[in-house]
Amino acid sequence: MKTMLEVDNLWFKYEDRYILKGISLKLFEGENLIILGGSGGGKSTILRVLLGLEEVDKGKIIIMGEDVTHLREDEWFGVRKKIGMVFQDGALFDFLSVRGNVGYRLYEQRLPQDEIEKIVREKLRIVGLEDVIDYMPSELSGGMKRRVAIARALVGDPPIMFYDEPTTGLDPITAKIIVRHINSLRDKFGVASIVVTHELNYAYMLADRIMMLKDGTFIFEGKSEDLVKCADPYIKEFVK
Amino acid sequence: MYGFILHLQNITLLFWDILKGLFSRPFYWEDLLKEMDALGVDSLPITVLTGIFLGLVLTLQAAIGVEKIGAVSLVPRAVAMSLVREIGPVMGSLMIAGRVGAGITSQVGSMKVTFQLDAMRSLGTDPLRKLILPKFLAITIMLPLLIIILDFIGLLSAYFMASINLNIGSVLFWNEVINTNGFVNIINAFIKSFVFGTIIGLIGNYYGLISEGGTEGVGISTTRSVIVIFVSILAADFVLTKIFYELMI
Repeated sequence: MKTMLEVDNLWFKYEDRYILKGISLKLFEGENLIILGGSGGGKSTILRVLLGLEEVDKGKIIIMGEDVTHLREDEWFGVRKKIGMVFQDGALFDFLSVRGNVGYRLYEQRLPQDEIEKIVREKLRIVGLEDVIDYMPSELSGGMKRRVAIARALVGDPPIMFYDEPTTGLDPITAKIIVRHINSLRDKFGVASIVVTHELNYAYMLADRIMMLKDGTFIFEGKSEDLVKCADPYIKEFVK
Repeated sequence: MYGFILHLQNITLLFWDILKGLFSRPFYWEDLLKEMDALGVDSLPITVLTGIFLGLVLTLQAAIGVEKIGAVSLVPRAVAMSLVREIGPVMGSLMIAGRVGAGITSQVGSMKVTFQLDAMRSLGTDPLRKLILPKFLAITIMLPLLIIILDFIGLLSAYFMASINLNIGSVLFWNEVINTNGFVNIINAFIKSFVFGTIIGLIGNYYGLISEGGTEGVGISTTRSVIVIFVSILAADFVLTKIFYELMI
């Protein structure tokens, strides 16, 4: 299987405290990798670091064969085209409509209007929200915002997707819709995804592989069924 | 003291980044024009109102001083001098800073705490160029223009007050105003408001960028931003006035 992303012995410090302490991971093509862990354990920080939003202290990040560990901000912009990021709560631009949000990247590239419209509608169709194209983010529900954020991240057809707590705060039905979308991106388009969550039920529905983070280090890596059987007291308590 | 120096250092670094952004690509012209409209043109009502009341009050204040000695003809000169050189730029900038400075900080701050700035970066756009620079440049360009409008409106309202209350004729009033406000005084006002605009744009953006802790944090940042802008404008006014005084302009 093709390695899409590789992290080796990564350390990250915020103020005087190490948030990530020498983590290593690999993400393969067409795989959903779930990073589980409690609140404040550094899960979201992993995504921020992998996206170049934070600078690492030590270690190595390789994205699709390119060492991106110490890139400058302007060099990161090219790398980020290969990655779609869905932030917690969506992080939609509240001054732009759904069309403006989803087509943001394309407007920045100054593509022709009709081409932008076509791509925006296509991505919104994937998440089942074509009819809200003219809405403002303030008019959308929490679940719709996440789905629009997924549509926005899909523009440019990135081979890698990151999801930060995609189901948190949503009702079970909406959360399952999000889960279905993430799985269908893997199944239909072979997208490799890292999903950060603390919600076990949805993690099981999504996972090809699970990694458990505690205090900045991974304490488990394996399949869902192995996680349930794990003897580690923290994991036992977590999955109980 | 350490905190103050740290803020000063970070503001200087932001200013340097903005200056670098001015001379490199991409440059977002459309966003600049939108911000000039939102921060500048939309500030016209507050500018006009400030100008009207400043003109009225300054005329009456000047009259109180000179009416007793029968020298009401000095009123136009006193009003024009104080309005154009000092009160107009400072009061106008403070009024506009209340609106624009708070607006910049709260908008940038809200985007920061809701991860919209990170989303922008993740989509391949530099928020400094797309968001910060247009806001900074817009208020720096628009404030001097607004202050010129304020001064003009202020002089008009001063003329009406002087003609109604003090029976000063239009020829005397406008002759005195023109004789007092030479080119140098207008340049003086222009330089001051340009510097004040820079202060509003820089500090407003800075406090937005360092916002954290949700909506409450944005509120705290906005309050701090307005206070720091006000004090900085007054301090800069002193420094500039001293420089003009030393240069005798």
